[in-house]
Amino acid sequence: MIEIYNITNLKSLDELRIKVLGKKGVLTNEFAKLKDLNEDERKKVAKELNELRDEFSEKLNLKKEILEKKEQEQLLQKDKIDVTLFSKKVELGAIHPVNYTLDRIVEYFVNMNFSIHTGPLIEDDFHNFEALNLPNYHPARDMQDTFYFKDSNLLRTHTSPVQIRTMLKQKPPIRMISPGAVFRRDFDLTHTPMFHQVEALVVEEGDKVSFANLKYILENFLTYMFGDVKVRFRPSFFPFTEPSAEVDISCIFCNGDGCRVCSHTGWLEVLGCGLVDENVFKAVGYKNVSGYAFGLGVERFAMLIHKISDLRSLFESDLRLLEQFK
Amino acid sequence: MIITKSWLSEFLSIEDIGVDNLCLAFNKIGLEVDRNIKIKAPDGVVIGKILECDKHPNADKLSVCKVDIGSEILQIVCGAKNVSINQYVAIATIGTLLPNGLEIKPVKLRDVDSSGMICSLEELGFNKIEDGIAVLDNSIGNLIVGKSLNDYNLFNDDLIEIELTANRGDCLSIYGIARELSSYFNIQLKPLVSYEEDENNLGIGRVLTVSHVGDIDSSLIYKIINFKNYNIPFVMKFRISQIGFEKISQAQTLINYVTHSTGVIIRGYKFDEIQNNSKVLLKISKNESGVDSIYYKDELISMIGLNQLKNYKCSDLNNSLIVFEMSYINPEFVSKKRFDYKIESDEIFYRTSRGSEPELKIGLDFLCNSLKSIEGVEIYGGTCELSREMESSTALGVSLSKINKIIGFEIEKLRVVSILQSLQFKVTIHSDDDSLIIGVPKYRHDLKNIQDIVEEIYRIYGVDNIKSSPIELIEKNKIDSSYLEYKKLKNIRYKAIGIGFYETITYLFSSKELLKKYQCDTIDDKLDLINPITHELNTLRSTLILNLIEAVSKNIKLNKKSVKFFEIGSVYNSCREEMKKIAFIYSGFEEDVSIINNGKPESISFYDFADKIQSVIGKFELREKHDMENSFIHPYQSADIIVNGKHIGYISKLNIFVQNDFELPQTFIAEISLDNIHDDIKITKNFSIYQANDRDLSFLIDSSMNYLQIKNEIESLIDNGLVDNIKEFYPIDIFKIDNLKNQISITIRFVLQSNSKTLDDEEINSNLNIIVKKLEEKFSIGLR
Ligand SMILES: [Zn+2]
Repeated sequence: MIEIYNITNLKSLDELRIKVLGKKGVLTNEFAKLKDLNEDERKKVAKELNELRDEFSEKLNLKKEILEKKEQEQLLQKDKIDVTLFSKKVELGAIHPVNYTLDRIVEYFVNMNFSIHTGPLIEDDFHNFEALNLPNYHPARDMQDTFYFKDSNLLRTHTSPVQIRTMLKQKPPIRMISPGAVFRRDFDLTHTPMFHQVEALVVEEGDKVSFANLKYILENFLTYMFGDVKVRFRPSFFPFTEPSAEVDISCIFCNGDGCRVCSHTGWLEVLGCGLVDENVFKAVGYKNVSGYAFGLGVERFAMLIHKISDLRSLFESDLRLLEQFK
Repeated sequence: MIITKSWLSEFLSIEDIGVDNLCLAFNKIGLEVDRNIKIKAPDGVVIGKILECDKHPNADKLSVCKVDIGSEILQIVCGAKNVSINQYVAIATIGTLLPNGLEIKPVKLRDVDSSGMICSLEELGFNKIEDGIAVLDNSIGNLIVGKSLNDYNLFNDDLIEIELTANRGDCLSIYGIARELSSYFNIQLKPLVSYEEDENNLGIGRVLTVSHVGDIDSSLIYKIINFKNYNIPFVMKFRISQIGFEKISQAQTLINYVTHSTGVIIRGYKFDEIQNNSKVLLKISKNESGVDSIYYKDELISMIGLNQLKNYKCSDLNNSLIVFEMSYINPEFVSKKRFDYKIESDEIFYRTSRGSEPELKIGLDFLCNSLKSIEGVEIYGGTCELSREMESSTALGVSLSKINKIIGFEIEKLRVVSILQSLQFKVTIHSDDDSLIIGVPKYRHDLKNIQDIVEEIYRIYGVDNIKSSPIELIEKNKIDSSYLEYKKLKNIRYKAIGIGFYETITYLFSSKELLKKYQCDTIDDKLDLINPITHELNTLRSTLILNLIEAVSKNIKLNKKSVKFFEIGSVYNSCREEMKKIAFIYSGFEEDVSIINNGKPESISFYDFADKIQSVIGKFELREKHDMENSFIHPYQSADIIVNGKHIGYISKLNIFVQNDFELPQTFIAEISLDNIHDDIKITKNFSIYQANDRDLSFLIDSSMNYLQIKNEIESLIDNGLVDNIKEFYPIDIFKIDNLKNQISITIRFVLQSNSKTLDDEEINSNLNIIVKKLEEKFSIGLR
């Protein structure tokens, strides 16, 4: 019995079991001797032996269980490592912040039942300017530094030509966005020769579309993008919309109290919008329709949302910036 | 457009309106405020009068002045050349802190006491007008010695810069801005004062005749003024410097001041002939481009709204008879002419192309009133005027209900009418109670239709006051090819970042010289950019790889050991056709140093790289490359990527020579056309429930052979049903055998499995034997 306590592995435990309960075991021998005893004694001894055997078996099984557990534990222990050594950086790459922002914008409008349209980056004067109520002598053209090619084509200065192309191909109703790269001949702290826009266009038959509708979707969209901000509309001018407005959000850096980013105005300009000018509809042959349009710069959104301070850094493939978007 | 509060106050009583409220109003009515700065003279600076001014006993360039500042008379030493007796000047008294940080203290200058300083405008923090001290005059207000300088509005002012949109030429003047504010704040404009001719003055007819030939498109008024001894008032010079003019002539200062105040275009001419009291004859007719032009002695001296010949432009005023010309021409007309005939224009065109003030008399009156009853200035009586048949101002018929439909919000009729009237529109309500006839003032040439009128109403009504409302939609499925294309690319992008690539965006531009150096396609010179932004970005890229190599190189220089980028973007071939591509670059080690790789990250192989690309864009086959489209490609470790039999791009180790040019570690590249990558819907096959068996066979093959030949042969056996139950096969090992030249061993794993039973060895071997036999027959290669 005491031997059980001293046993430390399963093998010797099994040996002990055989020694006691095996065919030639000690206890087996004792049971065999029973037949030599008289009935009274046999009964008494048999009872004692049974009790002894039961007790032994129980102890043995208990010990066996303990030893089995111990053995498993030892096996597992061999695998032990220092988990705190874990320090590897995530092996994932990252989506570029401009495209990440673009994806978010597209997701909103797709869910608002807008379709996506894309078009060529190289455009002609008609689609980029003329049809958008920007005749070649228009003073607003001075503001747009355009890249020209020798065959008088140009790199589109906005994604609006996609809207013209769509209207020339399709009849109203139209409910579309045109995301993509645009180009202006400007390169300094706050300008890069290429940047990205999302422009939207909604056209319906008759006088269905109003300025109040435009106001609604932009307020909703800007809250989706920037969270709980105030939205302000300032009347403005764009050749292709009338009436036009510029849209500001309350500064997300200072909550409207005024800071360096918002030039102490408490407001950040984020997009331009308006009801589509009738001259634009004329240029694509639409009659008796109404519509709104708006456009935004994706880089501006990305910079505000992710607090990126240098516009040019977005096009420098610098992993020190990009790694932060894992 | 720069305005100051004091200047505005000359046209509208806004003294009581705070500058914050002014800015708020500007933004609300669509005049965006760019900046707003306080203009204020420092405390402690007072008006002084110079009573005596003598040479400094010990210094040639200094003067010693006695200056009356009301409470006392100060002795001040002054170094300015222009100081003289009886001048009213700005005195910084003892204790004054100037904006440049200088604090005024009593000093001795070359043994003479000086208690105070006679200031120049720059020393007071203002723009410079002329050299030396500021000499004041009563144009700033009644000059009282001892009065604090910042008690005068001019020296305690607000400067606001407005970013005007191109349609609002009517706001390119202080008067125009005042007109806008008048309707917003509902304050009447101060009445403009007409100039009253002095009957004693000489008449203009003695010296000038203006005649015209044919029709003209402009309106013109001529006035003659004789300047004998005229000093430009301080306030004019000061304000002209505030709006950004520097070192301009007397005449230009006067003209710019009147134009900036009223919006009327003015030019000044000086003819020697007039000075000699002979008569000048000006002829006006259209030149060959159809623009109204002024001719003097058959010489073209100016084109209305566009330019003026230098020879007859006046600069100094004094001792001259000056011919002033006020003009108006339709902005669209003049812009078109300028564009169509490529006519050179001067600074005036900025205003004429946006629409200058058509009411020329405002400018004339303002000019004459500024000069009347000034000694040394003689205004000739009368004017010469020419004007085309001015069409009566535009009248637009609009319906109230339509206005409300466009806005999407009900604005009461009375409010609409009162807004329009406050903008000086003439409004007549039609008997049906819904139609309005709106007479648009001439200076609003930009208003042409009902949408324009709506803009006027909503900006004065306040956009913030319009309640927003959603549009009602008819359901429409928007999942079309461009949506699916967008989803496809998004899917690819997210797969790529999942295996460690960073997405990047680089410019569409490249250097033509570098593209040529690496034998890339380039846009035909006839089709290339005219006006690139820099020489390094002088053409459109024909490949994404060059930009990606440059991107990697920048990061390697920043001590990155592993740089992996991909980009999706457009590239252009020699015919400048747009193609959408995706490109990958993988430079350096597989990963950064870490505990996982025991500080020894591994380099990847061509096969590893290809495997990564495959996991992004889907299954493809590689074929040995024969024609190299550029010299980035490594001639011995590169392949064409084939999907469904179509060549869609290439994959390659970066040519070692390029690698050296950019100082890169081992680098792999791939550039793939996006058109042939499809996100096909997967069709499943039944899968077997029986055990699969692997068998590896090693063949000895000639090193000139490639695996694709073997693969094609085995596939044709399978396709023709000559062997079956081969689920898949792929190479698992390849090595050169030392003692056998030109021979390599390739081990191929075959996975065999039947859909109907567990295969026994015999069935497996019979299939494999067919393959071995066929390969031996075809290529004379055998098992090792
Ligand atoms: Zn702020």
